[in-house]
Amino acid sequence: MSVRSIGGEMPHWSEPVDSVARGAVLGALAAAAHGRTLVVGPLGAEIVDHLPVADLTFLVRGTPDVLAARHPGVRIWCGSLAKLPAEPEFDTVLALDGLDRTGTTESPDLPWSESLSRLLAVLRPGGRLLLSVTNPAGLHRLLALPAEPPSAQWSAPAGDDPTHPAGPDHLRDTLRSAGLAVLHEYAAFPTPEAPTVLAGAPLLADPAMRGVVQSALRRAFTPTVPMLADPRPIALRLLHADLALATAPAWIVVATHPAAPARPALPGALLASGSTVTRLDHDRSRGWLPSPVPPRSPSPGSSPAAGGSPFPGSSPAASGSPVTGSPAAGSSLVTGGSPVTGGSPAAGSSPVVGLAGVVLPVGRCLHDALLGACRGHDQPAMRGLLTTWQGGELATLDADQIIVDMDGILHPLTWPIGPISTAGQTGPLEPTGSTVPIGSTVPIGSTGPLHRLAQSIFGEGLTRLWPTPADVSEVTTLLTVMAGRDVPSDSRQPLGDQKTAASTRQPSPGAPPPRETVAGRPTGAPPPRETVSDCATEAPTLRETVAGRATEAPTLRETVAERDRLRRELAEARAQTDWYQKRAAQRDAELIRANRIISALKATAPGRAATAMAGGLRTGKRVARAALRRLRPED
Amino acid sequence: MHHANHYYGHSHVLARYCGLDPAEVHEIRGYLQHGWNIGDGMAPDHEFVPGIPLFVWSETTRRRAWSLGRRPVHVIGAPWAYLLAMEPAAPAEPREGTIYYPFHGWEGQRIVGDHGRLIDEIRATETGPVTVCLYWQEYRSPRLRRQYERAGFRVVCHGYRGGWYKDLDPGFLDRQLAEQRRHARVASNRLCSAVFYGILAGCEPAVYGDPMRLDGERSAFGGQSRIERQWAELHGPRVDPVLAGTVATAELGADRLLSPAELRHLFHWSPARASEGMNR
Repeated sequence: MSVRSIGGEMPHWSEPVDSVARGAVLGALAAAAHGRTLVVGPLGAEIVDHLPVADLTFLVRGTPDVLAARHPGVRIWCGSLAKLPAEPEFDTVLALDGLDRTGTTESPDLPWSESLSRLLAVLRPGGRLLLSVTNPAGLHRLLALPAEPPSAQWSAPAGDDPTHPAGPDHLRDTLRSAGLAVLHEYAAFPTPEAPTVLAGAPLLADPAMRGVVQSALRRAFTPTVPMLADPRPIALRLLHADLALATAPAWIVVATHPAAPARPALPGALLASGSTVTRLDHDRSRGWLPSPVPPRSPSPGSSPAAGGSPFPGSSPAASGSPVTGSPAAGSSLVTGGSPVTGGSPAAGSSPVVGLAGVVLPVGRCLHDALLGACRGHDQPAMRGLLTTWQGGELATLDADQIIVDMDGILHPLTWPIGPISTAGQTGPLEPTGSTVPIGSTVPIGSTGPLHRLAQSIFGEGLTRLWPTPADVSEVTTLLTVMAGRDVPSDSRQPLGDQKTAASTRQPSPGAPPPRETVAGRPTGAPPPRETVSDCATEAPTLRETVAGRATEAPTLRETVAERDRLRRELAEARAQTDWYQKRAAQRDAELIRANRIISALKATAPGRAATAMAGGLRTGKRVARAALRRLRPED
Repeated sequence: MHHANHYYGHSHVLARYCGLDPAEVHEIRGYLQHGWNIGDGMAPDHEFVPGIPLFVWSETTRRRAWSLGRRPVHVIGAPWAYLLAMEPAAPAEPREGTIYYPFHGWEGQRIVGDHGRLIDEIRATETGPVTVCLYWQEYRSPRLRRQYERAGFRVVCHGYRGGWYKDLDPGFLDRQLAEQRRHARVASNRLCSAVFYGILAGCEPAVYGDPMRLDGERSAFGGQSRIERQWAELHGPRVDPVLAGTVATAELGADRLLSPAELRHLFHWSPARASEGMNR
């Protein structure tokens, strides 16, 4: 390791660990690096420790970071980007943390455009730039609660810089005017520093992939810190309005000089589920092809055990995100409809995209289809979807892990999806590797997905559509019965231990089934066959398992809505109590009046006679019983 | 929550569908629509307690009720449709003649109209035997009964609908269904619940004759004139039965019936609560 102070370094500064660019998808994207590589800004260990290159140079601004880097064989340049030697010596410039943290307190601030120029000055002809740009109007910013400026913000925020790209078009134009060709452009969600979804504009705009993207964004935008509002419904509305790219928290571009030699094609999208990354590539005839990004070993020049990243505390163990790496050797790659074959810089052979004949399901995310039916008061559609979902093998999967296609057939969004019988098939796929036979009993405790759907219904303010829902458990129970499933004998109690059996999906004995339809078919008809690999127990899903879900942080809008709901329900409860009290008083009055009539009738001659007769009858009955007891033989 | 939930044995029919004892009175936590109307499904003088749901027959009624500020509103379908689901028609049930429902007032209301002229219109239209079904108020009038009987009509009454938990009649709808299934046609001088019931029960519908009027009738939600405009295709001595079936299915929510389990849940009827029913 060699350390060089280039000027403007900060002896007192260390990048905050929780703010460095990090995560498995950035690690997977960084696999596009080749040759001599300059790493600009703070990056997590899961990115830099596994770069498929050996000739690495880090540009850092804090001296302690340099001291923390015990990385053999790399060069450390410590200082400000403004002091970067303008030597075109790098094949790759990796700036996945953007340019906003490349200046120091010891040197003048550079405008964003000037910082870009400094980077381009060190890029060799044919070299690649991987650059992240934070969106000043990104959804994460729009929904952020007020916060104190952090210590790193010693100068004006990046968004105030007029040269800072304000949109993807601006960014693209800036790069083109600098003589670069944009190879690929990604929208990064849910945060600029730790994205779990990198999606290109073609994927975001593809109506066939709407369900997959809905599912990915729902998963990505689960609030983990307090925010102004739950970003999920907003993100999905922006997606629907074709504004997902424009409002993405960050854009990441891969650019090069136009005459650059062909390199391995870039993924159309990268989706992370914990430490697992799936890349999507588009094929004109087969659609979007998913393939796993296999875990990679640390790069030859790195030493993970010794903390290969120059940033302390960002080792894979600390981040909990093992590195995934470049695609393994294999068949040709197809991206954007143009087959490209190239050699992986790390492996020296062609990367693999997709399993043969595997396509992603086309349709809508079941979760959003259900919420849409809910918003539209379309209970029959709701019942149809719920019945199909909970009556099949996917009952244990969350609704946002399921795609419902045009025919109402449900497809699990799991990885690996598994091969299909015919390459290019776009219709329902054959189930493969199922361990849960159709119609079998769903394990106890499988009501979690319905509970989470009910939570979402509450979160989106749809409770007024249901008769007096007291809480999430109440709506969960209602959803359960709408799905045709059994509920405990006391149906007002929250569900926890319920079983589903095919037999319980029938109306009660003696009552013929209602003539409603489920997804366009009679209730009694067998549910459509779930398709694709339904081996949820074996295949890791695109999102975390139920147990592994992050706890949602409170959001202001939903909290206000909850307060208003509770306030309204309290007022309603008071009104109902008043009504019950009036009704009880009314009945008391009727009872008193009836007792008076009875007393008056008893006082009349016929009344006295009837009372005497009744008394006599009671006495006779007593005497007869006593006599019978005496006559009965002793046991 | 409301005594009207038990009119015409509606709650009893639903209790039977839900597997509860239909001989008992089961309180519904909500307001159950008890007749077809062009408003929010409830009677004009219905009292509402905030937070108590309305259970209406059709999606159109739900939309109307929602627009009137009613919350929450839930579509469950008419009790009549549940009864038909439980009592499917015999395959070759013989049907003959027409059952005619003269427009009637409700408790305390008086009808203004010429029954003699109506009789003439019925005679001029119907070719088979005619059964006239009078509301219990009119049926108690020997003069009116005799007027229809003298015209050669059979006069019946389905019974008293019950009120304030007294004289409840769990068998009301069963009798009405049995009577309608004896007839090939159902008719009235106003489009009303009985006509929709008859359509669903397999009768050819007709709406003709002097519609009469209630003494001091208020034309809420557009009144009779709106009914004649909006459902014009159901008016006249001959009506397209297929079209009528479609309309009746929608108006009675026969395509929106819930499962017994869902209905039990909505009404707060659990098996444990079934034993808490009141004797009628």
